[in-house]
Amino acid sequence: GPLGMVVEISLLFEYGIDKIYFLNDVKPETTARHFIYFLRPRVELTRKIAAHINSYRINGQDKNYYVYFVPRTKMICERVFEEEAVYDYITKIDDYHLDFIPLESDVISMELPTSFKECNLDGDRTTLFYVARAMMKIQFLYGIIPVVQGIGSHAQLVTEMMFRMRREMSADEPSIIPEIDNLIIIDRNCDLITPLCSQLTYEGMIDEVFVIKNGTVELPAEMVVDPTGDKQPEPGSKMTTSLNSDDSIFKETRDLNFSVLGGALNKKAVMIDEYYKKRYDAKTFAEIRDFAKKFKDFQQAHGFLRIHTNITDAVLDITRHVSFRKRLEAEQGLLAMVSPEDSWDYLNECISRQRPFSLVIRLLCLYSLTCNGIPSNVYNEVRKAIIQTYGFHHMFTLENLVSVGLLKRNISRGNSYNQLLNQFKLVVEDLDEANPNDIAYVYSGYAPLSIRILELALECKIPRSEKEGNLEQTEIFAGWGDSKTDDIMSYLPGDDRPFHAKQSLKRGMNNEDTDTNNVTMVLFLGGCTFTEISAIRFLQKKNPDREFIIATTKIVNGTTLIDTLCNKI
Amino acid sequence: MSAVTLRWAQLYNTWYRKIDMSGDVYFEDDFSQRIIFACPFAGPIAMIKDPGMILRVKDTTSSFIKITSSCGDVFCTIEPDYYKSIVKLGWNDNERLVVVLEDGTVFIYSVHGRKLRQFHLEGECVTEGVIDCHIWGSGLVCLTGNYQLYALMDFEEPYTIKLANPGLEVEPVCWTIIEPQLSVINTLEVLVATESGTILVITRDKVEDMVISSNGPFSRLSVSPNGKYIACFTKDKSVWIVTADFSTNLTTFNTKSEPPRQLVWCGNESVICYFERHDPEKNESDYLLFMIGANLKYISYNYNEPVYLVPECDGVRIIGKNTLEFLEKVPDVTVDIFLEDSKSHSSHLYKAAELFSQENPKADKYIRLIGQELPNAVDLCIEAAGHEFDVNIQKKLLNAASFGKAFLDFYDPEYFVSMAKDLRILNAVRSYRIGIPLTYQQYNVLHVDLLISRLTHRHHHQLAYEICKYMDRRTDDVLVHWSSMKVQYDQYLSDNEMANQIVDKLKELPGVNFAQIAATAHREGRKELAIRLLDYEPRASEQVPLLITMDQLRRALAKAMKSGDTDLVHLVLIHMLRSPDISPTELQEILHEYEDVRKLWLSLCTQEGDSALAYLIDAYDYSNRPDKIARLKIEKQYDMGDELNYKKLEESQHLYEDNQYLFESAMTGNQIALLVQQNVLEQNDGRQHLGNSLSETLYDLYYYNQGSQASKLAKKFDVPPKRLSWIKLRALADVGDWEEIEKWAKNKIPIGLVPVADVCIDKENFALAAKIIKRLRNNDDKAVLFGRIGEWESALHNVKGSSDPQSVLMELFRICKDPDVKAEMQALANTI
Repeated sequence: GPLGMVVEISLLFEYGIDKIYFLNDVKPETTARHFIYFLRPRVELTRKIAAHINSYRINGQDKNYYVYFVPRTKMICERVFEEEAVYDYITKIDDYHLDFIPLESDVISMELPTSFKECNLDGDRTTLFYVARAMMKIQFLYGIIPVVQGIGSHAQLVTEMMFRMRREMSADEPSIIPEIDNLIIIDRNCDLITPLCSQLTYEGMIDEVFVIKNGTVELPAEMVVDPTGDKQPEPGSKMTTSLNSDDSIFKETRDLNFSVLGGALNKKAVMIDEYYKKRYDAKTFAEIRDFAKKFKDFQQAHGFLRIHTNITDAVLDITRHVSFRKRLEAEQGLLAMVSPEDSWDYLNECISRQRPFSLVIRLLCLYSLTCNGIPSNVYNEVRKAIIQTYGFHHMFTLENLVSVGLLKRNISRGNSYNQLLNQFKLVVEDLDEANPNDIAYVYSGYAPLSIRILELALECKIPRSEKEGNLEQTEIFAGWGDSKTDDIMSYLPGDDRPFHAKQSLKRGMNNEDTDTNNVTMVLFLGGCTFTEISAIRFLQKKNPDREFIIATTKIVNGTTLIDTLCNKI
Repeated sequence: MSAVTLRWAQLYNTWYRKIDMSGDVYFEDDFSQRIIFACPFAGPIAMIKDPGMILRVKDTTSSFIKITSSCGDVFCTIEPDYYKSIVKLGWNDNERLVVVLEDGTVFIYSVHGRKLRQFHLEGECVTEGVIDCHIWGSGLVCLTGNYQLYALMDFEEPYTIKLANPGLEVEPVCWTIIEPQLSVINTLEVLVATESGTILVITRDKVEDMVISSNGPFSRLSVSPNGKYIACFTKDKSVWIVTADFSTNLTTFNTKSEPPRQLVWCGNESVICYFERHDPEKNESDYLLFMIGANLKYISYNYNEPVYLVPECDGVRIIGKNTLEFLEKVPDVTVDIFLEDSKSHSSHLYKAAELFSQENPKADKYIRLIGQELPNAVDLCIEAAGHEFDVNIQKKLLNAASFGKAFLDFYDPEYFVSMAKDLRILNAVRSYRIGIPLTYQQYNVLHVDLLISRLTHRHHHQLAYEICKYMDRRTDDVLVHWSSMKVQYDQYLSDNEMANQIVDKLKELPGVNFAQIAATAHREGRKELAIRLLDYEPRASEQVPLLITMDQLRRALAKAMKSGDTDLVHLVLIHMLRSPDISPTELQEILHEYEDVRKLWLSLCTQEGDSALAYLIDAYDYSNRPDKIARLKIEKQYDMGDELNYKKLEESQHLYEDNQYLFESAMTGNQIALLVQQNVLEQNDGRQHLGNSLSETLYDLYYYNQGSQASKLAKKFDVPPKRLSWIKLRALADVGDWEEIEKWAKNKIPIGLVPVADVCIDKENFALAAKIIKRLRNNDDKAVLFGRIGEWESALHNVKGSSDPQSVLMELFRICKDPDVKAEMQALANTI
């Protein structure tokens, strides 16, 4: 879990932790007297703890319980303790303010997978409150961020909360010259299209095929273990492998389009091979020393290369399959508005063939978003087909999709997506995947709308506020201060409009000559995909003067996003 | 120089001095008729009438507790109805008066006599009563009627704990405590001198008898300020000084007198006995301070009025009706500078500065005498300045320091500056107007923050505020306290005027705690003012709870919503639910009014589960959403694992009867019908069908060779032929019924033959695949499919007739692994 991302488990043992358990219905059988629980403030989890305590009490075991809610206690959970009559037996109930967790040197995540669902379906915006608090923590550590840009009502809510919290905590505001220049908040609601598409970067594909969780992926053991080694895994067993930039091979391949992946890995292999050959050429002492110095790195890279060749093989196998290509064609047909009818037929075929539910729903929603809804005459038909195929309870899943705007019945003429397509240049032809010149490479032609929005936001150079000191109220302005951009942005459907605000800094903190550290933080509310991260890294490469930090509530893909909206029965 | 040392007295090898501040003091009361309780660190004094005197004088006027400053300035008089049952008074670290009564009740008062808190000690303190008590800065210890000891370690969290049973049968002769922070073992220790002559040391866990056979019983016990030594007054009229563990005797000094009225330590190196003797014949009284030091040396001081000794960490404060003195060991730095014939560097520097100011060239000689030690001498002069009460001498010493500094290339001014600041503060608080004669050492031990807090609570807001500014500290607490006081005492100021004045004072401070001031206003019954002030509170987490206690629920809701803190919104909603003033309908109206709150409320109720189900139904009912109620009921049904009960589904279906829910109603109807059908199927074929989807059921029927049943079911539920064909194809291929597939493929299939060929290839039935491919019309499909089953000749043959030979070839090229065939394709490509 995320806890492993912030603390070395061995360290916990050093501090006298006896054993770590996952919170289950079954209480741990142990003689330990002190229990520390870490959990998200959710009712069902809280009930489990209450059940543990009651069960120990019935057995006459007297223990001390310390309960830490991450990132914050909720009253509703404390009420559970009261209801179950265990409140008095708990030694301590407190918050553990685990906010953003670093996943990479440029990616931090709140690890709140249900944020999108809670905000958009349930109308419970608690997670936005958490995000605002986490942003305050960041600002207390790295300075008040002078310029905030955003798009979407949730982005505006978070901004308002941040400003209010700044006023609340202004007394303790430290004097730090801002290290982050501007913050751009993007509400997932402004671009629901992107996560629905099949990710075509290496990391994105691994996520789609094997599911990346907290920077690790579970692979069949034979893909990981060295086949020449002594220890061979049991068939069918799985192994968890870390995926991050410590892995030199992955660092260079993660953001590549899958079509050039084979070549890139090949090049690496040749390079390593050449290095090994050098061993025979090394003659002078210095050469040998040089060889030996790099030996460990290359040996490690060699190991990584084996794993990635295996993963790549598995991934490319899937891409060669007809069904993958058909699905890609269907998606691209919709995104480019070439042949939505074919895509619709393919969708129906998928339902008939009872293909995995999430794939069907991703395509259905993509159709709805790109074609201004599902045509009235087939709306009920397709819903019925889904219910008849996947089960009655999915009637409510479909209801949920409608509630969050992923699905709708076509009731108006015209199609705003067509305009988006033109205004934001969402589809790029003549794309060279090997040497990409546009972010569209991450979807082999489709440029993620969210990142197009980001590009526009970056183009609008909003100057810092000239005022100093803590002002009572930081005003939020509509637009991004550039009429051309605002005009393009007005083509976004829905009520989400761009806004910006300038936070005044304390006296002496406004050090504008630090042009060298142009750091932009991009905050996604409701999650972002690996492809979006890759696209931002691409922007970074294009603008070497600017550094990006990507913050998100969770890294998602279409399937995980849809999963949270499924009626869980 | 003699002026400084004039009042010094030598005790063996140590010097003592009295700092006299009597000019500033006047007490209205006669000390001989009062019992005095003084707060350390030059704190205030509480006095009550000596009960013995009351009897004698037959004083009929009401009895009172009087609180004054160290200088006799009266802060207040309290006239409590419990006067007769007072056991003890004392002070805590914050200068709050602690009053302990016989029945275990404890009152806490401000210096202005405002009752702040009241609580009760527990256990035998109540049943047996309290007969004596010792109070220190953070807690107290009680002796109960049955000679048990109870302690309260922290006034902020008043839990009574029982100490180990000392096993006494008669009242102890005398007893005292070693405060936990002074104790070697870091816990509270109680020393009890018993009738039998020994001393018991009692902690929470155990009683230890010090087994003292001679000298006892002891009539006085006193612990040194550092907690390391004990002074005892013995049966044979001696003062016996011993280490706190009673292991080492230090001194025994025979006073040849009755037990002194007070036995206290003056610093850690000498002990003072205070004797009051009355000569009835001459009707004269004699008040004697007798200070005993090392090597049986002593000094005595006479007074012409009764005095009271207040032990401080570095000396003794002596208070009388017209007396205020501080008796202390002269600090070593001071001795070094001022003592006649001192050869110390610091004294040289002091002399040099004096001579320099007289334009005497000898100054230079002294500076040269100091040589390398000059920086040190400067430090010592600064330090010595700190120990002086006389502003002139302070100045002289600081002058000497700055004179010395001038000869140094580099000297960090930090110490000089901070001392100058500290002295300014000390001089200010020592003035009789404020009446806190702190020494420099006490000031350091107390810490400036606590001093600021003490000043604030004495209502010296102006001075406290200035010290905050001067010492670069936040002024919040001072201003908030000032405002709270203003709210309390300025009862005639209008709400408007009051709010304006307070806001005006506090507006410069970001994040100031307005809620605390508002809480005061609320307590004072000024609700409107409280609400107005709360509006300025930036923290919703402070605002909302207070608004709730003020029954301003709607306002609280608005503030909570604005904050974005959903937990606060929840808090308000729960109070609304419980509030007698808000009817259930009204609650629904409120929810209806605020869309966001309603959604949150629904979400919370959903999370809470069964216990909140009724609220959910109420809310949906009010907003006229029967479909939501239906969904709730169906979900509940699934939750309970009762989803197969179609009778229950029928009940929910009724809720969909409105026209706008036609689809939902139809789907629920379908599900009911499906369950009924599946039930029948189960009874017929004995396989499990219930709970599967329609498609899954159809698949199963085809799989188990019940095709006709499948067709009937599909017809009943309007399954489109295409979908049905896919299901059939999948099921037949999975079960491997190729015969049936071949037979079926002879007819026209709604999905065409390509998928059939596809399935054959996937399942590696290439023979059947070939047969079917041959029947295809489209050359593109044919070419690719032939390629997939490896019939390259046929594949390439069909390329020629295809609509887009280029892309078909590309596709084939991708599939093909045979280099010869690939070469052939290459050749073919060139011809096209």
